[in-house]
Amino acid sequence: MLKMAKTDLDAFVDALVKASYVVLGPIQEGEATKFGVVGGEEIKIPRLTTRPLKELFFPQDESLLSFDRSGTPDASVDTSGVLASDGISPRVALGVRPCDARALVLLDNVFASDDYRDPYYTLRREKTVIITFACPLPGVACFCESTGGGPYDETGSDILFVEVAGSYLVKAVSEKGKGLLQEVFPPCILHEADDEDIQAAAEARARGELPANAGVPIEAAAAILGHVDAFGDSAWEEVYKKCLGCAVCTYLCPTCHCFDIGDEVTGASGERIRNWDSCMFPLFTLHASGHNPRPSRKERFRQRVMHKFNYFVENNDCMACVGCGRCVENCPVNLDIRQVLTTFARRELA
Amino acid sequence: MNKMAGSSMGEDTIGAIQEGIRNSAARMLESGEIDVFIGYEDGTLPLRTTPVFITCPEDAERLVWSPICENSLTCYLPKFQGTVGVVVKGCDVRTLVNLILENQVSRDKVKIVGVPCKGIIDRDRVGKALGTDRIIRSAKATRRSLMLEGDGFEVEMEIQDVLAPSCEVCRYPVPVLFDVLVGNESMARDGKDPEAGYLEVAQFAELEPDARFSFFAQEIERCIQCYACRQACPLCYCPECFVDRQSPKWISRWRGLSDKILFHLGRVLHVAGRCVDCGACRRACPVGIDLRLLTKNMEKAAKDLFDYESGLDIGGVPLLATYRREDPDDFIL
Amino acid sequence: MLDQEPKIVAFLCNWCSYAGADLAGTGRIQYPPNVRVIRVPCSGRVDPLMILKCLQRGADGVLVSGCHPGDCHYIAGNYLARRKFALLDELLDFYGIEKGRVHFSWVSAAEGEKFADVVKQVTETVKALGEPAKLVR
Repeated sequence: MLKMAKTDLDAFVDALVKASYVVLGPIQEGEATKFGVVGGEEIKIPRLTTRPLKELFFPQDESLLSFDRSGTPDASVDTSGVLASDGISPRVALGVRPCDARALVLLDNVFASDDYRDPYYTLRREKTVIITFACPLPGVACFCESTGGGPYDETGSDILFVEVAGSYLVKAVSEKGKGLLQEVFPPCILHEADDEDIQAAAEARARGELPANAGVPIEAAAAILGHVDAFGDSAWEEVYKKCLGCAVCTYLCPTCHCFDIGDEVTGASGERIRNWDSCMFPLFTLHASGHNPRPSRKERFRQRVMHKFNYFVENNDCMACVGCGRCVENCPVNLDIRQVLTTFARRELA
Repeated sequence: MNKMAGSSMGEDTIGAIQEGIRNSAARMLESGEIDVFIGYEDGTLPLRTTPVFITCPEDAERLVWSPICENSLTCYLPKFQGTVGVVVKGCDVRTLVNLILENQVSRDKVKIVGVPCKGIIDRDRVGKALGTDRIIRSAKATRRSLMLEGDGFEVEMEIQDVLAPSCEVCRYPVPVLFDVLVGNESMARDGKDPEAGYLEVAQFAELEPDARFSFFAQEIERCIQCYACRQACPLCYCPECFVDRQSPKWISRWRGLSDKILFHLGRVLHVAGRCVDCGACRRACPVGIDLRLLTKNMEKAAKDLFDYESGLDIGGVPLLATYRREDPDDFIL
Repeated sequence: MLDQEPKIVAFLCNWCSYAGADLAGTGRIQYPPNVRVIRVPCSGRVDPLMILKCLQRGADGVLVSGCHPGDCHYIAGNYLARRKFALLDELLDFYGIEKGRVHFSWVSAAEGEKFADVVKQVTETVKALGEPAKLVR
């Protein structure tokens, strides 16, 4: 276990930059925060960024390939770009919260599984080291512990920083993390931690576990949602009603991963683009015939809940929710997924 | 000066309005006049209330009223089946007048419970006044002030200091149309002069065109296209938004700045002459884009060019569905 | 100042301005070849989004031309269009788009001369504005 003074964080970033890493951390953009390139300026670690970490691996839109039919009779297709060997430099994502880091492990089920490996996503994953900062003060919308995570959870992290009295205790969680600390070890910044520090961290951890809301009955809800009658349950008629049908919940969600692929063509050349889709939109699963199996907000809202707490569980043995609370906090009408889950947990289906 | 003095009196006004809403809802549901009553109930987070759909009179007890009742409930009315009772503030009812004018809501299918409005708070402003990353664990709003509690702090704020920007310049805090008005007109804030509302717009217009463009580009660059502004707007009810049109395709998949700008300009054009500056779009935006400046300017343009104010007259005609021969045409070659 | 010849999209009302353009042609009146004409049934048909889309897809300027007030084939299409265009004009100006990218005119079927003049004036204005950078994708 290593230790670093809190005030040395910027020096730590400089060391990474010097070692040719692209350092990504929380940046302010207007009133919102998101992950972007940092270094040079003082870093502020917010409680939780407005926009999720997933953007670094699965961006809102990206070009998968470009094509050009002018000049040659056959289309020439160019898939370099991101996939070129120098398309992505080694990166460090820093100031990540445990919920966001854990979300990546869930996304790996989709984009980096044994069945299918998405080259764009996996390349970015491989090239990125995740430095997570344990959450000293979970917010009112947080419920990570209910989902199996926690403010000190290490899942998905390569290195974990725990804040203790003006310092960070630095723990290498994965081999990748260990490697980074060995490679870019600035001894003037990082010291060996003593037992006292480790004890203090354990105490902080014991204190911190409390407010991260372990009380949402997610397992019970998931069990009910897994019931054969859950899909047609009359409770759906009620729970979706105030939903406005915007994509705040899905776009800010660190685990939502639905996307759409299409071509943008101008003249004889164009690009194949993948961008985020949202089950909240009327275009989601709209067929070419004009038919949509999810014609109203009720079906679309059900899709969101069922996907996270039932379908994903069936496919991957884990829920597609890390309890970061972004959807709760940012929903324009305060439609709270925790309440929806509680409603279903109490449901009795024959 | 306000006609009512003393904070205890103030709290009673909120209580009286809340009581009035509950009674109206219960009475209307009992008599069978309405099938559903749409109002506010306590939310799951501090500083939040949430829309609630009440169908039996006993549940009317769940209804609340306070300066944190921020949503425009009229956005649920188009496409609603049956008769509905709804709580409206001064701004909300103007959107409803427009919905009625545009044949989206039938006047005889809606019972309007009007609230004399004191203005609602802006959560971003509260957050800014408090300082970032101080977590509010509980909040209580009275007519005049806001009591906030968190880890190791207790703060009281004047509602006046954290009012939503659209409320600060509100012209019609008392609903212009209602079936029931709970409380009385003196409980509302004073309506502001239109010029007060257009001050910001007028100042902005003084900037150089390039500076204006860069300001908007910077704001709109942050847009994540969640379309919460569109969905929260009571006046955005098209069955198919131009954004979702596939043929012709107005907005590209490759959502660069230019496509984001096209969406925002399109949105503003579609609410031009209809927007009442309720501020719902601004509040819904998760990244805090200043969406009001453009719509406010359109409101000003409608006033300057056509002497038109939206949502006031249920017997009127929508601005763009009519004309006058003497309309300005000095911009035409 | 634009180096190349500007491309200008002209939405012309079928009943007046389109015929006006025709008359300019049959009358051999010279005007700049920069306009690409799109015939529309009425100036009221022109959705402001069409104008924005033209600018986004690389048009240097847009002209919308319809019947004089009182002459609309559909009685009031041009009056209704006038209100929309007034608001669009105001919006673009406020947004910081150069004045002079988008033009409106009334040209009757008998005004071949005027059509040529309008096109000349629009072409010169658009040329003077230089590269359009603000809305282009």
